[in-house]
Amino acid sequence: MVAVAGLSAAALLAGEFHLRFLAEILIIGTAVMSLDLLVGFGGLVSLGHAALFGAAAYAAAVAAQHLGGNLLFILGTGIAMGAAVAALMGAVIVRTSSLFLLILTLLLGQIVWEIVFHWRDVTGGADGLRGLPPLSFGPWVLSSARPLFLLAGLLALAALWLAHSFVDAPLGRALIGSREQPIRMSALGYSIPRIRFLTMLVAGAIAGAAGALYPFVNLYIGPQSVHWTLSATMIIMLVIGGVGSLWGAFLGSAVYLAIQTYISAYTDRWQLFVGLIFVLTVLLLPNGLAGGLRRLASRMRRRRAQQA
Amino acid sequence: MSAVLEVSGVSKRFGAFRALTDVTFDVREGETLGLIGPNGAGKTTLFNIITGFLRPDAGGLHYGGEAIDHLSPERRVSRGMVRTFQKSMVFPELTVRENIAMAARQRAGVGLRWGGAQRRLGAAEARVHQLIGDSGLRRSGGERMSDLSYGEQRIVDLLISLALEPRLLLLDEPTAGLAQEEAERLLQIVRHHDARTSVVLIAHDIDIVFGACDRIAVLNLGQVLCCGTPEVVRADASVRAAYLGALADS
Ligand SMILES: Nc1ncnc2c1ncn2[C@@H]1O[C@H](COP(=O)(O)OP(=O)(O)O)[C@@H](O)[C@H]1O
Ligand SMILES: [Mg+2]
Repeated sequence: MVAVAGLSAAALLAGEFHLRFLAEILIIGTAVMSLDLLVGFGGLVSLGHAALFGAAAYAAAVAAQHLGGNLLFILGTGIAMGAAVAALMGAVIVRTSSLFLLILTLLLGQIVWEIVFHWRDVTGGADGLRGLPPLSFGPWVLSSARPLFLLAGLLALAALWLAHSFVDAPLGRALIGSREQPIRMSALGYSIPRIRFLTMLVAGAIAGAAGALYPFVNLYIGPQSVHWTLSATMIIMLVIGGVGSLWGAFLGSAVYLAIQTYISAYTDRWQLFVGLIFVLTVLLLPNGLAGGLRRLASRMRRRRAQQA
Repeated sequence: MSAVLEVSGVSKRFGAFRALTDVTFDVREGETLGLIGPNGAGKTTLFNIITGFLRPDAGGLHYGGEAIDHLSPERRVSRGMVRTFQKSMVFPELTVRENIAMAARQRAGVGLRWGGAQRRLGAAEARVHQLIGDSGLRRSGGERMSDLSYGEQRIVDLLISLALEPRLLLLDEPTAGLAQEEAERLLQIVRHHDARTSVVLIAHDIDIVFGACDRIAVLNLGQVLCCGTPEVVRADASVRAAYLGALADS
């Protein structure tokens, strides 16, 4: 409810630049939220999530160049690409954990980056792809900021709903079980690799849907969208927002991108601010901004109950 | 009575250390078999081999008359072979109900569902409710595991395994660290669950084992010293020498 009201208000009040900026926050936030399924619920810290997101973004951009920007087609392309890369990554990582998982996802992600960076004919190499056709839905062309923002908002809400339904379903419960007590899960007959693989597919599909929209916000996609540094940025966003909360991913991406956009206008050292916020979050709000807000809300509710 | 499980000539080394040497015994339909022996005798290792967590260096297993040496732990579970662990292995962040439901859903074949199967999920939930009710735990099921006492956690640990409706239940020191009364309650839950279930019970408390078991196998330094009814085991000279000692005389 609050989210829908916020989205509507922003759509009415914000200007062109801000709407595109908010759309970017929602899209990246959706990708970070899909990472939360792996990290927060599965205990699987991946440094390759940008590869799922970025590969889907490139697939969508290339598809649009050749076949036009039909929204459903583009979304389908991104989801398929995200899930496909996730399947490859999943097949490799399902039996690993902690440090090996981190390194393997990093390496696999960098393979995707190498392909994107060197396959100039298709991806534009270091220059990326510009001049994409805008998205369209039936007779509507979604090129101005407002429809793009609303689209990103719908994507975020749908993804959030999907992620919640996943976490509440037996499969999501099994994922939590595999994080908490993997040996017991095997002793109950669960296949941990299977749980992890299916989760990778779901996370990849959601990241892929987000990736599909990403190139159309600025009609540009570049190789930094598949680089491991974006994967690391996603983890920072997730920690700031609150691991395991799902919606915190959007807060984290908002804080990070706001610092990147506004502070970088004053100083090149904006990453220091990110570092500072990160450290403060870890020290003061171990469950991130989402956890902090939730605690604040319950404290206020208690106080109101005492007064009544 | 036919055997549910036959262990034939199983040996296992860890490096140069012989953890199990030529272990042979069987578990019969519906019986409770006690497995006793000093610390380090190889009891847990034997459970790990039976359940497929470890591979034996030699020997084999037959379960329900079939060789199961090639089956993964998960496949063995799906055939009704269920174990607990020496250390309590519950899901501390989840509620009591969710802990047991994790097993009940798997038993109902809906452990990895996402959407649908409402009827089977409902049946699994009902089963959880019934298990909690029958257990004598005075808990609604909504409590987080970490808020329970140790004794209660061990009972929930057992209920998780019972929710799989085992044909063969392997309990690794379920009563360790429990007060006499709690231990008896736990064993009562096992016995009242299903008379067809075969149970292998590892425990250190001699009174418990001799009171609760139909037969007893004694393991020492990785070898089966003796296997038989409590009277036979109590009278066995090698067992008295190696393990029971003064206990049996008293
Ligand atoms: N994975 C392992 N690697 C090396 N040694 C082990 C391993 N598991 C058990 N052992 C050793 O095997 C012996 C038997 O252990 P265990 O089966 O746990 O005994 P019990 O359960 O009867 O107390 C012990 O000496 C233990 O240290
Ligand atoms: Mg042991």
